[in-house]
Amino acid sequence: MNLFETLRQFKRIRPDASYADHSKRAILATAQNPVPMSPFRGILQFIETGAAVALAGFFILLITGAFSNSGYITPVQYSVIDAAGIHAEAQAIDMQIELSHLSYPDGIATSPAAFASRSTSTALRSSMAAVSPQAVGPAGTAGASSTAATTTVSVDQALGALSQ
Amino acid sequence: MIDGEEKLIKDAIRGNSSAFGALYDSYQPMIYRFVLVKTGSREEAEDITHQVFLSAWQNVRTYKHRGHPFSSWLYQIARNQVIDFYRAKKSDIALDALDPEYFAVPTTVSADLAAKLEIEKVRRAIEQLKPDYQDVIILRFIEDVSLKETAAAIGKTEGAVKLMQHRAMKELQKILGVHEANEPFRNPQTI
Repeated sequence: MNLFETLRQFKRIRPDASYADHSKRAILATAQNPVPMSPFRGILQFIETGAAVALAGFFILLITGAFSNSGYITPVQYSVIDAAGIHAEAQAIDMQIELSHLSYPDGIATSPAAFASRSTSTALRSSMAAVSPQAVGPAGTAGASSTAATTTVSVDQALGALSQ
Repeated sequence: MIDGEEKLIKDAIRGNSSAFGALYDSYQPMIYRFVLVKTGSREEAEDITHQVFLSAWQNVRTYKHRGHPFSSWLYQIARNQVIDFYRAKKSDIALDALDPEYFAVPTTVSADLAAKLEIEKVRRAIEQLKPDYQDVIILRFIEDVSLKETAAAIGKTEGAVKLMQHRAMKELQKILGVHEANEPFRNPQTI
């Protein structure tokens, strides 16, 4: 046996033609894998994108600034709006509000006595009466007393009376 | 290396399927033979060869030309595919237990019956060699691949390949019972 000649004979082995054709078609019908991105390439791409966005923003600011400076673009003005009149009107408004002008709606108790008269607790009613005896009266008259009653009783006094 | 291989590779990397088709036509028979000799099964050889070229097409963008022919890269893929094949197959079936007809040489070999039997005998002897020796025998003596390309394909130095081919041939002759005196070893480098 001539071993080298026999080994050369192996070269005559060929795959089946129909298999080769079918295999080639199947392979070429598939998509190629995307190129794997290296970390360095990723960082470079990030820098590129960031630089592009920053540059675009800079040019937008530059262009709009130049336009507004040149006077081609001015703020929009409406003829129906009188800016000077509005300003004068706003200046003329008297914004001072006095507390004495405030009025309470009907039915809201404005003094501790009135509150005490509405309370169901007798202990609380008596303690409140002790705090402001001049304000305690019939329930109907409590609403008639002014807010001056509230100024005669301090919070400390009220708490002291309650603790007794 | 085939004519215009570099341009074909560049076109294939860009996604040109006809360029890769040309590479396929050039290299598919040798990869098929490489796998067939190592596996001994036509069906397995067809499957593995298909996988080799499918993998090559899908990953051709990662191919880096390092002065070696494209076939070295394909042989590397083929070697890995065969290793994977045996790894999966080892637990399933013992090769010696198979029907000899399973290892039949394809009918496309247009030699006479005696030549076919001789080829099959040698193929089964090659199958008994270590995988590295098998690779060297196939690449150097069947495919006439250069020392440099063989070294690139199997990941060894040229000196190591020379040594391996000498040992592999001696072992093959021993298995086949061919006496060195009658069949002197001829280095393919001198052919």
